[in-house]
Amino acid sequence: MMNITLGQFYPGDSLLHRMDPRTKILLTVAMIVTVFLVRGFLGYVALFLYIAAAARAAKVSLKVLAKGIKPILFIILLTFFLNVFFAAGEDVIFAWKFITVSWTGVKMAVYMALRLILLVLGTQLLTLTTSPIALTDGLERLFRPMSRIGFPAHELAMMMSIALRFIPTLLEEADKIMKAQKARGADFESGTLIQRARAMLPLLVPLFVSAFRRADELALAMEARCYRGGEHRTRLKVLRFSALDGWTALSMAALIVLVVWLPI
Amino acid sequence: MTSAETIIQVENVSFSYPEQEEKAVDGVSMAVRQGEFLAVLGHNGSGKSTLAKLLNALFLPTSGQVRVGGILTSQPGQEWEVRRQCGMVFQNPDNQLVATIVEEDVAFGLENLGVETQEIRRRVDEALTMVGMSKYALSAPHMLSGGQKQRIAIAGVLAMRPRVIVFDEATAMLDPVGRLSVMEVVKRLNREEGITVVWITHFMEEAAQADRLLVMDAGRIQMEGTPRQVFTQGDKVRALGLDVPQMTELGERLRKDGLDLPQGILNVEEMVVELCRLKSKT
Amino acid sequence: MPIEVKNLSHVYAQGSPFQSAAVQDVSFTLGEGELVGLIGHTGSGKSTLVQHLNGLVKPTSGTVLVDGMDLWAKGTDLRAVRKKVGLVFQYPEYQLFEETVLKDIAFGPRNLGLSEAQAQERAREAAQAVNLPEEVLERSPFDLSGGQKRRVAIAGVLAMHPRTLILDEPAAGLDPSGRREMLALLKALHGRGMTLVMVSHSMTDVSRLCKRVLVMNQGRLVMDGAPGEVFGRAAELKAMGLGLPRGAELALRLREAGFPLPQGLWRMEDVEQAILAALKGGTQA
Repeated sequence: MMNITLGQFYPGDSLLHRMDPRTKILLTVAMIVTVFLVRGFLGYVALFLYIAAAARAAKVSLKVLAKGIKPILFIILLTFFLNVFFAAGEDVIFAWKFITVSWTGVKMAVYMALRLILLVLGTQLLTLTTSPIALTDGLERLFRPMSRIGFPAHELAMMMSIALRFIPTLLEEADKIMKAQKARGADFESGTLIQRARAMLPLLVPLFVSAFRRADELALAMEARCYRGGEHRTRLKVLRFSALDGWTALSMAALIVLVVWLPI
Repeated sequence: MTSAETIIQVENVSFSYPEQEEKAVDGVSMAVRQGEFLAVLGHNGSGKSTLAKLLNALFLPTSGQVRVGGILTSQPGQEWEVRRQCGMVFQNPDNQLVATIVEEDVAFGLENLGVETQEIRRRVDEALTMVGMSKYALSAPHMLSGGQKQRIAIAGVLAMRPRVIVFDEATAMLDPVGRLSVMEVVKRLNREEGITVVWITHFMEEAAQADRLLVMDAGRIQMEGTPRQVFTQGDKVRALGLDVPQMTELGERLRKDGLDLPQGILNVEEMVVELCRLKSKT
Repeated sequence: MPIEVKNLSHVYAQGSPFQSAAVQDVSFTLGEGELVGLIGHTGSGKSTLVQHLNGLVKPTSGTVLVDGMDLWAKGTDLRAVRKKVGLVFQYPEYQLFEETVLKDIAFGPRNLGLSEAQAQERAREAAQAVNLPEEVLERSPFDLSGGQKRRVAIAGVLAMHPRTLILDEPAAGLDPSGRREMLALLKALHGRGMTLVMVSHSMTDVSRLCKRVLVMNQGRLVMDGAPGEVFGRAAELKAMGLGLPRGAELALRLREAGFPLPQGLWRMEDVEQAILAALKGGTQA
């Protein structure tokens, strides 16, 4: 209970860990867009090679990376078969009643599956090498220009970071309350769905009461330390782009040119 | 204690919570002197925590005035300077740490004040050293013990370079080891760094270590004096729902038994010294 | 024997890099009507240990018997065990959830399958046992003072009619008079024949109340004996970060300073008498 890790961040000190979170977020977005612009099969191969190289630089094994595909395997297969059986094409391989399988369909199905897999692998690399707090920091700074038009970048980031701070505390508390109610004969495991939902009340009510109490006290403590929103705030850690970020961005640009404009 | 500069001046202050008739603080006047260790003692609901929050503009008086370093806490726009000068450590170690990493939490106040990055770094390191928590700079708060969390909270206040720190029952939720470690840090800061301390508590043995003591009940200050002066009046203290330190009580009883002990023995050390003195006479 | 613990061990997160032994090879028995203090530093394993006594946590190895019944044998009804062994957690007031005090106290009995009327009857009786005034029973538990909330929570466990009651830091956070009332309440419950275990890191509270003291350190049960015996091992206790009750500490210091005091003193009254004897008579050894 004490040692839960949030998200799937793997602490480490690789090239990817050392990169500015903003670079990683932007490159992941670029990767996602590129995946939909790839012209041909070789382009996909190039993207896979790029991700494999990045995983190497992050000291993350391909096996760990591939684990992320499991939860959405069903969706990948579903899209694959939907495309195989229902995508229209001239070059029909065989047709039976309303099912037609064409070469175009098969190609589209394979591409679609490849895209989904690439999306997962790319974002996985981001979350495996960037701590939730760095991710929040990066997002806050990326969205900061938008705060001029009223987008609450700082507030969202602060909420996110407080949530990250309190999740372990509340999980521990939930465990304690659950045990305490069990000691009073509560039963969380058996009964119908409705009975079980009702059985959660003795857990949820105290947990919410406690969360509100904590929020109250935290707000007071933050005020006592002169917190007054994001304006004029400085930071202990300033994000800085380094040469590493530049080179990585260049390599991504090269990749994009390669797979989008070169007719392979 | 020589008459030093007054750092907090409370003048005839009352405060009531919204929708409550009874005043939580009722016509309190008091002063905190530069460099002193002042303990405020009282049972739960005596108004001591409310008084604490009036000292740094977290609450504003319903009537009366509070000045911190000469600044009126109710003056609009001045609350930030008041809070910088008069920091506060709260009771629950879990509910006052904001960040997921220790050093970022210590930096929180400085970030709010808009201090420059390099200066933040320097002050955070310095503050962590002062509370003896440097090696936990990169830890997650939820992995620390209660006493360690409180020391981080102290560092977060220290980094803002306050003149006074108010501790609102900062040891109430700690085990004896944590309580001792926090008390030691606070006493050292008071002695060596000249930080003025206002120590709100209901632990007699902690209050006995202060320079001066205020006892609160029903929102009013009922007793004032050195710990020795206050705890000598055992019956009055007990009537206010408090205790006297166990050694003071034993001293009272031994005097009744006919031993020639002085009044107001506060701790085991003093008791041993006095009894040895008696023994050498027999 | 109400509770027998044999070679109990509990390992957290076994097999992971975070593996740590919270309880290691602990054995003891708890007799009918005993009043026992369980002392240990935070993280000594005392809280984990007591959660085994009513089957909230399953031991990694070893057994727990309640009235001779093995908690983790096939077919043991853990809810029947929790009826016999009540456990009050630290800061139990944070577990209150019902609309009224009475309903909250009746939660346990309702879970035992009693009718609403019977459950309420038991709740009233339990509220009386913890000295809750009649007029708060229909109020929301969230409107009460801290000390009253804690009484409600304790009543909630008492209403299950356990024969053994375990309390984890029952006096934590209370002011001196709240503390005194809590100790008086525990004494009264014990007086009614209940077996009581008080988990605490306050030597003073334990020394005021208990006839037998268990000490845990780093997951192991390192001492088990009468208060005088346990508090006599001052150096060991200090090494565990536990300290002594003031009376025992004074007696120790005075002996070191050459006072002829007997061993095993801890109660303030006994220390007082011994000091008088030493100073007046000077003959006591």
